[in-house]
Amino acid sequence: MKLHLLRICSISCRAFILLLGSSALLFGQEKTELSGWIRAGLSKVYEERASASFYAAKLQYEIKLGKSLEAQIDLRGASTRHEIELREAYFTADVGTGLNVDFGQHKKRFGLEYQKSKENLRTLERTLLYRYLESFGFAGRELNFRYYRTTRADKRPSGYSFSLGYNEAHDLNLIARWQRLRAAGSFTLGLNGIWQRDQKDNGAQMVSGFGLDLSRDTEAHHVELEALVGQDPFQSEFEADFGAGRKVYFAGGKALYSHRFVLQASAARAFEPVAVASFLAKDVGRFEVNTIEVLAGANYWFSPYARLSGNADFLLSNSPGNTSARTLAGSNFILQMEVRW
Amino acid sequence: MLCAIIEGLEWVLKKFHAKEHPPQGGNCVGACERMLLTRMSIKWGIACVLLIALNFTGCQKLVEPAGLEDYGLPKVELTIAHDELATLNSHVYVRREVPGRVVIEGKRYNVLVRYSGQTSINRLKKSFTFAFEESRQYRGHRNYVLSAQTGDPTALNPAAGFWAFAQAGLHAPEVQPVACYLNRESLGLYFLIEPIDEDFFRKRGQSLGSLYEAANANAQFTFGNGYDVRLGFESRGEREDFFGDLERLLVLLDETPAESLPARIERLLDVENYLRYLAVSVLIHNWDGYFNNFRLHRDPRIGKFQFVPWDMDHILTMHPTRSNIRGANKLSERLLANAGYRARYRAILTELLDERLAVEELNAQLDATAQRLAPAHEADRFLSAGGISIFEHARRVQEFNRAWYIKIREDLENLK
Repeated sequence: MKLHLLRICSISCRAFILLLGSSALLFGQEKTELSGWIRAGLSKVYEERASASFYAAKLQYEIKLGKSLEAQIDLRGASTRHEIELREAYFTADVGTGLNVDFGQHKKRFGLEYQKSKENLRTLERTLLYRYLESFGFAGRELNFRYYRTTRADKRPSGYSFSLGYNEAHDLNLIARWQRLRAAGSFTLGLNGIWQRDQKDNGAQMVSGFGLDLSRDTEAHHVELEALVGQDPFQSEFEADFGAGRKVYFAGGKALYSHRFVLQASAARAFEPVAVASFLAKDVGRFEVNTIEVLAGANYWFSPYARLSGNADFLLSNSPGNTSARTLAGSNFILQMEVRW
Repeated sequence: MLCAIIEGLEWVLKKFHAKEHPPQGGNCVGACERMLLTRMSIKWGIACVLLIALNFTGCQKLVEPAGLEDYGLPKVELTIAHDELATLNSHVYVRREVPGRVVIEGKRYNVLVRYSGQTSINRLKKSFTFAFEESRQYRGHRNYVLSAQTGDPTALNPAAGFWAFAQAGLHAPEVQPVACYLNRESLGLYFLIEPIDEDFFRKRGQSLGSLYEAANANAQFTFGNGYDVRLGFESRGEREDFFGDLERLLVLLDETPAESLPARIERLLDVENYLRYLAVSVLIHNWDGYFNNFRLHRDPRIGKFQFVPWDMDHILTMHPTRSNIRGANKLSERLLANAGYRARYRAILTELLDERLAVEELNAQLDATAQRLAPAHEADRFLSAGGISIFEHARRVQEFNRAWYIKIREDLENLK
């Protein structure tokens, strides 16, 4: 028993020393920044009887390797998986005024929502259009090389981005985005394109997608208007292999509005209602079969670092067999507390 | 409804305004103007969003979602979050696991899901493997395979194939046809196939020893032409990356003279098991099972290799070179060169042809399977795309079986 206690003490001491050592290394290095978040909450899906609790955390290291080189490592853990996942790992090189190059595993930036991390969205989850794009890989994460120019309100009203990506489904893609601040009044205009060589059983197919977005972001208001159209690689492959060989195109649009009411300026306490309406037709050849998303939500900011959010996401879908009635299948409600640092 | 929502919001804003600017006679003109602008913009913002939504819905009827159709089979409902699905679909060939949830026959399990299979991984209709949470099991297994069987347009093969091997007394995986859904969208007719792993052998009173998975359609039984066992076998047994006993078997087959083969090989191989495996493979045209679709297991308590069949999608069709009474690999060639083994093989074939795997029995099994799977086969967009019903497939296979059995009986005479 004594021996057992001694062993436990010895292991604990070693773990403590290791922890102290590693944190000293980490924080002793002044060029390393640590950011991240912790989330916990409840979710309820319409067709399920019980609600589910969840928790997740993100730890992001930003390591300055020199004057113009930076490495970023994004580690995630969640209640759905019992291991830490290396979600992103990439380098950013500063190659000129406002010009940067990224290389590594990170976001596939097609469309307005994928220009941002999830924690910077007004909604808790990505909206209907992007959830659909993720399912066949027009959005998500991959190994890519990205060359881009950032915008700045005072100097550079136009920005662009080109990225060449490859993933472990053996797909190769080129994504381009151009945006201009104050292109339509106070709105920023964005144009997006993706061209993908999509690997399939007997060779490959070329698929593409295009998007147009208008956004306005002020201290109080946030508005996003988007339209996306493209070729669904999975359905097109099915048609090529088993059907008449027609290409299947999807189309969709989104409108998002949020308003931030400052309740206590000194503590940055604010209340922010959010409303979203989206539309998605998975096959423009059958435009009458579609899904409409109506999302009502709110963020309550306790401080710039903590928010309590609730999203009621209603998905109204009809089906090829019945286009005159809609169901709420897949609709969900999420209540979440997020603390970031 | 829209007006009611806007009126409600207006009321909230008024309350908010009253709190921020109490009527004390102070100058709040600027604040009030800002508030008015805020009120107008939020009203119009929300009104636009809701109008767009209502315009598209056209005030259509809202109904309860219909239950997912089971087509007379157990249902497997797989749920994967969209961002995890993106990860799964962009890591197909590294078989990355993502968290998901599966409901099998009404029971819910948290799982890690990955794509699996050798041929089907390239196809649109892919196979999956689930790893259950540590404390949970499905039918006594910590992993389970949800197979698309994409090489088989008939959907008859898995049930008929594994049944045939079980008739010959071999260990064969359990197979269960199911109606499969991913995020409520139909994936079609799938097969839950028992994986051949430690749990498989434990359930059959054996323990895991060396286990080799034939792979890349290149599982050879000779070192001829500079063959390396790693090219055609994957070691999945107790000792990771151990190939020692398999290499010993191949050396023995390459170097042992014919007259001393029985004495030496029977120490390492369960010859009766292999002759039975070969006989069934010949009868059901398991031509992919000579170099590819099998597992080779050596229980430490038995000490001899035994064959376990796997993946039945390519059976009951003629192969130009491998469809013959002697099988197609070096192991069959060496064993059948021995008169004693040849006689035993003939006896096994005769027993199967006349009794346990008689053509009427095999065809009756096909009829029963077709009857059971017909609604799911018809609803599966991949299987029904060819325009041939499962009953027509069954009829064609049965005719083919009758002709093949006649041919095998004739060839038995030449096997003496």
